Amino acid sequence: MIKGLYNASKSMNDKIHNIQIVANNLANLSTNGFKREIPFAEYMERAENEGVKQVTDFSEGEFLETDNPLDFAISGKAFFAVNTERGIELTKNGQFEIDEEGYLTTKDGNKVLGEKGNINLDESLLKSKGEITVTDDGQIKVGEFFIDYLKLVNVEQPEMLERSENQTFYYAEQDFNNADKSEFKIHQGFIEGSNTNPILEMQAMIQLQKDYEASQKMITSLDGMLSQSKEIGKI
Amino acid sequence: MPTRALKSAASGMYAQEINIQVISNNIANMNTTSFKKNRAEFKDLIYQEISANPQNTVIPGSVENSNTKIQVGSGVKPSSTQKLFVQGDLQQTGQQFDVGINGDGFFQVRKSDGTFSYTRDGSFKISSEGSMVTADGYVLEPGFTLNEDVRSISISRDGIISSTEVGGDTIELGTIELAKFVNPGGLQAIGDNLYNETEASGSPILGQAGQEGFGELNQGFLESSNVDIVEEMISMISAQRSYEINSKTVKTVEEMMSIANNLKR
Repeated sequence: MIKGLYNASKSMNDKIHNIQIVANNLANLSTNGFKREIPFAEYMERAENEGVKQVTDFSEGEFLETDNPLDFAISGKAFFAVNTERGIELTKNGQFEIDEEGYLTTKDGNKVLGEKGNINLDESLLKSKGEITVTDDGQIKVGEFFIDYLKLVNVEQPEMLERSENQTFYYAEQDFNNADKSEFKIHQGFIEGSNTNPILEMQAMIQLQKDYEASQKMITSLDGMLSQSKEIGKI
Repeated sequence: MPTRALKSAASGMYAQEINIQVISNNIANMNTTSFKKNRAEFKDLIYQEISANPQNTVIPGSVENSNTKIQVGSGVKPSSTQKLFVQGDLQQTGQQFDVGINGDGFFQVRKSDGTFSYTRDGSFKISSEGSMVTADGYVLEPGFTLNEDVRSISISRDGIISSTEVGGDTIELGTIELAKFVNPGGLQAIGDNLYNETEASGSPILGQAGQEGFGELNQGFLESSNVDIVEEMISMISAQRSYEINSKTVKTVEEMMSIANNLKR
């Protein structure tokens, strides 16, 4: 009976973790490039049995048109590669800027990687009055000048990705494959919205709350049974 | 422990509040000449690794298995607002000093402290010295000076200004140059329809209207605000619903805490 108490309390703890995940998903309803985490009720057991670390839903969010030449959305499986202190991080949030030295960076100031390394637009911007254009397959041009291809990578096991703030993902193993150009398409002047689906989150929230309540009932009734068992010896 | 979920939900509510503030500013500026709408942007906060099974970790001598760790996020934070430089409608005013830009580019104006600002508001006036100024008195740069004999001026689509004198002669006075930015979204709005260059926007590139990707000038027209009321109403509805759904999270967590409180009778 004591074991039952522990099981029920563990279940309540799991529900708390799950509600935290749901709360985070819902808080990020308006965050560009955000990928929701799947708050399965059975998720914790899976994590223990199979060693599945994280279940992130990498489905595509809605595209919003911004008309800004430095906003990119990826349709398809690829990620942008960004150079950070930790090494390469991946993101779907293609809202970039140009820093004072002419490098293409994220809003956090981390440099965006091209196939030849960091992307520097300074020289060609001075030489040409043209606009920055990016083709479907990630080729960056300033006016007539070819700069580089954006480095777009594929991760074979996206479940191994660790989440980091600002919609980026980190992969400790660091072996990325360049994404096949037929598998993605870059849309310039668009950004990808959050893929949080409020209906799924509400459903999970209701389920979690009811499960939580059931576990509580279980504990109360086990508690009652325990208190009855000590009455047995009495006359 | 559930306080993290409460804080995440509260951060979501706060973010939507900022969102509503940005949307209401857009709607308030629906009739502002050349106003460009804003969009609030957000980023997710740090992810903390927590143990999926806290009861295991308290067993003395037990080895922690990293596979039982999960990452839990801690909510959302407003990060920036982005201006959307979509073209607004050009409306005919018939005023000879009204100039609307059809396409990319900004007018460069000099403020009283000598620094430059940029604007798309082409409702110019003529100052007492005969130079072309904005409604706030900032001087168009590179500008020109009108003398007293001028009867009317005409501005061509590529920015060439010519004046018709009292005697009927036509004199070319100069050219209006437009400024373009690599990343106009990075410009800093300073009010009065003016923008300042920043590191994010890059330095201005000057050029003649109608050429090399610069927009054409339309004399007698003004660019109206690019706020689309239907779009803003939809954003407002979705922001309100997002606020509501985050408040539902607060309520659910609150109920769960009360359930936990009822464990002990």
